[in-house]
Amino acid sequence: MHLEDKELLGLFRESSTKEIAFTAIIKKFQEKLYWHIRKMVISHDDTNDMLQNVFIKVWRGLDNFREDSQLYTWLYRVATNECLTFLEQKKKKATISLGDDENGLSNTIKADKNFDANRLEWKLQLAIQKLPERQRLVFNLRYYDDMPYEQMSKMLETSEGALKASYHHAAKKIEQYILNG
Amino acid sequence: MINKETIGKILNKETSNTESILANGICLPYQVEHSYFERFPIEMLEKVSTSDKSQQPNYAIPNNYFDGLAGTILSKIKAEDSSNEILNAPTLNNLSKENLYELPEGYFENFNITVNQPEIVKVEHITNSKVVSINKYKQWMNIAVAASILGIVIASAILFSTKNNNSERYLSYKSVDVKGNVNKLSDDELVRYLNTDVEAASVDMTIIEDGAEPDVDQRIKSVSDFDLDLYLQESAITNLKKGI
Repeated sequence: MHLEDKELLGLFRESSTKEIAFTAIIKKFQEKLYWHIRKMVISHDDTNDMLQNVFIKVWRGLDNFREDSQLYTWLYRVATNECLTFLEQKKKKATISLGDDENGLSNTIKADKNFDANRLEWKLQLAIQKLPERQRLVFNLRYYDDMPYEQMSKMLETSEGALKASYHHAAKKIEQYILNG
Repeated sequence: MINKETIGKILNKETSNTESILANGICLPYQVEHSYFERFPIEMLEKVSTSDKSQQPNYAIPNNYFDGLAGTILSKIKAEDSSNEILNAPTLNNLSKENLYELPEGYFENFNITVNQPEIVKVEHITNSKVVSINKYKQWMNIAVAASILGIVIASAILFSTKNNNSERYLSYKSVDVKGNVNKLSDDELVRYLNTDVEAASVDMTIIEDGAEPDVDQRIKSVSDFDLDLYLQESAITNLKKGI
């Protein structure tokens, strides 16, 4: 049973209960954040590194959280920024080593021991990697997490209309990839 | 001094005068019922409330209908969005959303970040996971220092090896006995050389003959007097040391 966000934040602000509250926050949100990151970076090791970084940033920044938005939205935003920074760095490294970042993620998927090229669900995973990063992010949040556009708009600081358009294009591209690929 | 009784008498007199004036219609040609102004607000209120009711049909609406209307409309909009998404990508929406990726066993149970001090966060993880360093700036500094040292070592090695090559070449040229080797050659070989390589030899000679003197003149002209004096002094000292 998890505590309400307000209670958790209250406990976090008290020095005597700060660590207890922090542990409770990790327990409450770790799985959602893990899968949010994993869908973006694919590799478990990268996800684990980033999840730790996210919670370290949460520890340092939660005192400044003004509760204008939900804690969940704020945590997602921290994780999303972490993902985008990581992917940007990876892309730069791939450019230097004349590699291809998109193929790198696809290869990680294909290297999974359960990968089955004939299963549509795996094809979907490959198709998602073909999308630009921000479109991939919008697609994952909407398709897998069923996040309302309103909440997504606050999190990504983008208008609802732009997000709907982004999801529409992403879904079309994926549909075509699955059918023709 | 006017007391209360006097004021009361004056007011009563004025009121009765006004009433009698209105009743007799002396000043105004119109008449009005005595209680008209008393009933007027009540009648108006009744009229207004009746007209309001008459505009609305007598239909029944569910309790708290208007309280939940905004929510109902919003959920309808969201449902419409979803149905558009399904129409937009029917194959996609028929796929299972199950998780295909695997996790190390007990990952979430063992995931823990231990905080020792407010400024120092130590990451602990029981499964085989990497530990992320927090001080990235320090890491970069270490890499930069290591790269600089490596650069200096490589540059020194290259310079040293080149210098060695030059001195080795110089020593090998110096050790060649040109005079002895020329003496070993027969007259026929020397004649053949002069016949075949005469052009090359003449070109070399031309360069030496035509080019040497003007070049030296030009160079001497470009050197300052101070440098020339310095050179002459140095060469004089060297010659003295050699006993020339």
